[in-house]
Amino acid sequence: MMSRENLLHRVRTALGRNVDQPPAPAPPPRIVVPEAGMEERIARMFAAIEALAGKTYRVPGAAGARDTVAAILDGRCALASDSCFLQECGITALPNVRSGVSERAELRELAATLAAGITSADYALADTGTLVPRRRA
Amino acid sequence: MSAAFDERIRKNLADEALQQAVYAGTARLAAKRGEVVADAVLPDYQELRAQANAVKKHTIENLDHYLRQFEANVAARGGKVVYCRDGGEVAEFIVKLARERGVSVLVKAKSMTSEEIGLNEHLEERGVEAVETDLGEYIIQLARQRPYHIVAPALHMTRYEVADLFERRLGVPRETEIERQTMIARRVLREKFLAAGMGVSGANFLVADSGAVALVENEGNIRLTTSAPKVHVAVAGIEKMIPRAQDLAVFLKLLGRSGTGQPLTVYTSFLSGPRRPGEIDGPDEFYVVLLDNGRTRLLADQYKRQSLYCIRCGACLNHCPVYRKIGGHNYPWVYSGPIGTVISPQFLGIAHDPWLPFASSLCGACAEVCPVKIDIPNILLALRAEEKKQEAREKKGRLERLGFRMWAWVMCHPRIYAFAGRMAGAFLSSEDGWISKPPPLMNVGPLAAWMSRRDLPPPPRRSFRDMWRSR
Repeated sequence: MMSRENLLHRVRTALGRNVDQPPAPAPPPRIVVPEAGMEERIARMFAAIEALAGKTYRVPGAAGARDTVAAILDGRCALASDSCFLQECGITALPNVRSGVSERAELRELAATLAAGITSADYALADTGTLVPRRRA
Repeated sequence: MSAAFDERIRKNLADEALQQAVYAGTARLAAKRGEVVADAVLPDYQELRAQANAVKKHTIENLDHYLRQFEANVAARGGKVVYCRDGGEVAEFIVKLARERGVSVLVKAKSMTSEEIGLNEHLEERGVEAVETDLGEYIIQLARQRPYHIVAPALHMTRYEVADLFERRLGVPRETEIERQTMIARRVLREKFLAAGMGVSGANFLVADSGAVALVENEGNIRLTTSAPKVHVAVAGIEKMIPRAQDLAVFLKLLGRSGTGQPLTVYTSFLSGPRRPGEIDGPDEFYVVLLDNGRTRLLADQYKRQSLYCIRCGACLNHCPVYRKIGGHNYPWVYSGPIGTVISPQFLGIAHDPWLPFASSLCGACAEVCPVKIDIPNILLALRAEEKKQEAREKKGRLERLGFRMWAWVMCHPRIYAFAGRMAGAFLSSEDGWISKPPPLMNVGPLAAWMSRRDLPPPPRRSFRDMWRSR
């Protein structure tokens, strides 16, 4: 197996750099956030999801979210993630929704067999319609 | 080029179904890219390319620093970085780990780096079953082929060929509907995901300041490969490094758009270490294998090292008139198309396939669409020059060099040049308006080979000088 020092030595020799030589300043990062109000962002988000045949719903509050999920499930069983937001909306309390599973084997079995999965998101990207959950699913 | 290679290309050109499949596939990807990088949609596209080029240049020029930073951050999150010289060492590491953990089946995410080192073959020889989980890769694994295209490995296969393949290899009824074929693969692969004790992926980017491995995909198979098995190994070339998570804002925008015409791929995953306390699922062990395999040799060339900026989007293949005609399997290595003609000779040594840098029309389309602005045509010219110098050192190509010396001598003597022009006008003629082979006595050696692929217009009966004199 190639040693760490061997590879780093080869890289430094090829580049003409010394051990522990600090890097030259990196180019400043380029992050451009498009200017848009909340309504426009929501509209963009919905358009991006619907362009890929996804469905979107806008609800006035927690109860509306719970009722919408219940209507989508239409009696089918679902597995929900441990998101606090889902709990606040009362979604994890729906009779046909399982959540709070702490055993790996049981979680896999449920994920493989139940009809639907329910997650929340830490961020939603308007431009691409992307949902960002931060923890490992 | 060898006669066998010539024959393969002729066969390829005569296969109308294959030509149609490759043309349609690459045209579709090129058109989708065109839509999402258009000024109206992405007005700062050129600025993004310039930034990506600057960041890659900076990272490569300071690579030792970022490798150490990445390693420290992976270790801080409970992962381990392993360094390997070549594919044999990677396979040795994975096989040893698999034996120690009692793993006989592993699942794989699509990775050109693992194709580069023939990882599946290495593992198979040592008794470890490696199952590709990307649909296209799974198809070509069943067909025992190598990828036809960097992004779309089964681009050349029709659904009818896939139906025959599934019937033969999986023992399922022949199914020609693509959705149903997908469901067959999904059923087989789900079982493999649950049975596998190890997942192996590549890396689209290695993020130095967070120790994260960034992976993009559209099928969800990478999510399962990296989270279901108890051990995860990411195998990546050292050049996949970028300094900061912030730089992903540029690279992710360019990669999806250039590769498949998507503003962002369907799934983007960041792996940073094994599962932590409180997390139910995810791997218990997390390794990142950093591969050299010729990259440090390439680093030493200040101009050509830009080849290592490549983010494997495949855009240069989709726009290359040569790739679209001869197809991905006629290149000598897993990397095909313009980027293959540039990196294969540098990774394998130019003597491996000395003709490869010449397999280009130098039209420049590849450089126009490259999201990190690799100057592919000029690198090809540099490689051609190296190959010709090598030929001179080995005393090869004497006739060709003699021919060019004579040509230079004639060009330096105007009277002899004018005489040669008159002779050519008198003796070289053509009935159909083209000269397709040299005169009989000269139809040998390099001139015959050169003319075998080119038609020339016949020289005019009266030269420009003659017309000027008699005006």
